[in-house]
Amino acid sequence: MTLSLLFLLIAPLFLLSSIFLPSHRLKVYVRSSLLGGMAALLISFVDIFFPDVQIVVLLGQPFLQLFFFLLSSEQTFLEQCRIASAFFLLLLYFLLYLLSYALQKLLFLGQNMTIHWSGKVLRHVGYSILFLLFTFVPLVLFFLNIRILLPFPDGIFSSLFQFFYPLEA
Amino acid sequence: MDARMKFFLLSEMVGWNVTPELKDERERLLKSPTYQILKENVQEAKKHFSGRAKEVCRSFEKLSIDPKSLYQSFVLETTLDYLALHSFPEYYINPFAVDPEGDCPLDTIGELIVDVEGKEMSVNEIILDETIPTPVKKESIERKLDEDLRDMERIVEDSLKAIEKNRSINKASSLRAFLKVMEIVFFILAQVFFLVLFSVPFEIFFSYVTHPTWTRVMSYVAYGYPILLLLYDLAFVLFHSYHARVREPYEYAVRFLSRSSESVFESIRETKENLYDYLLGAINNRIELKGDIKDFSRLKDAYVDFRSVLLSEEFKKRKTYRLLRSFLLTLSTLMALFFLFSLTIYLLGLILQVAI
Repeated sequence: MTLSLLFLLIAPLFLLSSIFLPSHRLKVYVRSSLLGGMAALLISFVDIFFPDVQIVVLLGQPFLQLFFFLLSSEQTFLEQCRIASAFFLLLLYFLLYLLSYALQKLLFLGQNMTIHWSGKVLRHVGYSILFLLFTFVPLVLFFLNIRILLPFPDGIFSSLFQFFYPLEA
Repeated sequence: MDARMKFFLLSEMVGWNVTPELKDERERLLKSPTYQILKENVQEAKKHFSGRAKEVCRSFEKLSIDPKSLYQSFVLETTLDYLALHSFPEYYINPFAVDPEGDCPLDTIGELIVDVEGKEMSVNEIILDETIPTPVKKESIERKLDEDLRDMERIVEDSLKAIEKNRSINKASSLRAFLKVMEIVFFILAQVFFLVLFSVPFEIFFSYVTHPTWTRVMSYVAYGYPILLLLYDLAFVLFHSYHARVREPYEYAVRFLSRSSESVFESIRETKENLYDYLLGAINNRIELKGDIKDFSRLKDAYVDFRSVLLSEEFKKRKTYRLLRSFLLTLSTLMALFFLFSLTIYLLGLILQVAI
């Protein structure tokens, strides 16, 4: 088992969901994951392209004590902060998701799906892409951030993973 | 009834014993062309939601073809003649309640039958007739449309009652709600445990991930758990996606009707006025109607799919639904058992720091 294989096995689950879910449900899930997903993507973007900001240290350092059971003395300070920030972001993602979902449940109505509109398929494809962007991609980024903990080698996408988060030798 | 049977009927009414003539009556009625036509028409009527279609089906089900006297046979034969005539779609189709996506046996509203001063005529016949005064035509058409409007309002009310009934069932069944919550909780727990298995530093367990030893139970946990979890997740995703897809028209109807049912009634009344204006235009200009049977349907309109509300539980009979449900139940059970097994092994190993 490698990390690349794990991603390849998980991807169809998200893909099948995005294809088979009805448009209303898909819309609700996209809107619910919007905040958490955008936060995860934004932080990753800053971390990869503006490493001087050291955003993982800013986010991870306050939570090092909270995730002490995951850390070891063999890890560098930066690695520990990266792990702590990844788990913190995971919790934040789920919290934002639950809040958005509760709000949607209360307010969302939607449109009659039996009304024929030629753009329906295109709209569903668009929402599917957004669904994958705000759910599968943050999940991949999370695993990449904590891959120092995982007992799996990187696999075929190793060079890509190294580009995003290089593991110190 | 032929002349010979009429003679025996008269004989029966004056008190003669005509029992031998009765023995073949049941068979005669059941094999009669009238009964066969009625039986066939009822199968088509069952697909429609209009009150008259339901009345045809109800009357057919209440029929008991077992006459105890020639008089009863005579009454039954007359009833069959009446029912068979009124079992044709022209008599029961409601233009507001036609399924816009299904096959309709009629092509046009012009084929519908209307009572005009005791005489049954199709709408097209009324339009083209030159002897009937226009006010009489208008009054007959309006009366028919009022009946169809009341019928459509009944369908909406039945939908609202069906929704309320489902809501009460869901609220009353706390066991059902509890099982639903437990299903989601277990799904999340299974994913979290996967994360714990492979992120919490436990070198003994990790050694079985990289170098499995098949005489050790931990190797089976390290490999078996992810494989079973993947299959379980696949079953979960497939079933709930399919369930959501078939249920969505009903869910949308519930959301809509619980917020604005009044606008639905207004919309249906507006459609009735539009249809009346349309028919009036055809009458005034003597235009025969064609190909418009679905144009005024409100069964799946801009607001609600009433068909899906009234048949909300029908999807559970579908083969795909039952197959996916069985698949999910089987894998959930296996997953639950393996989860408990894996959790026990993992915790024992972690606490005692031994390889199991």
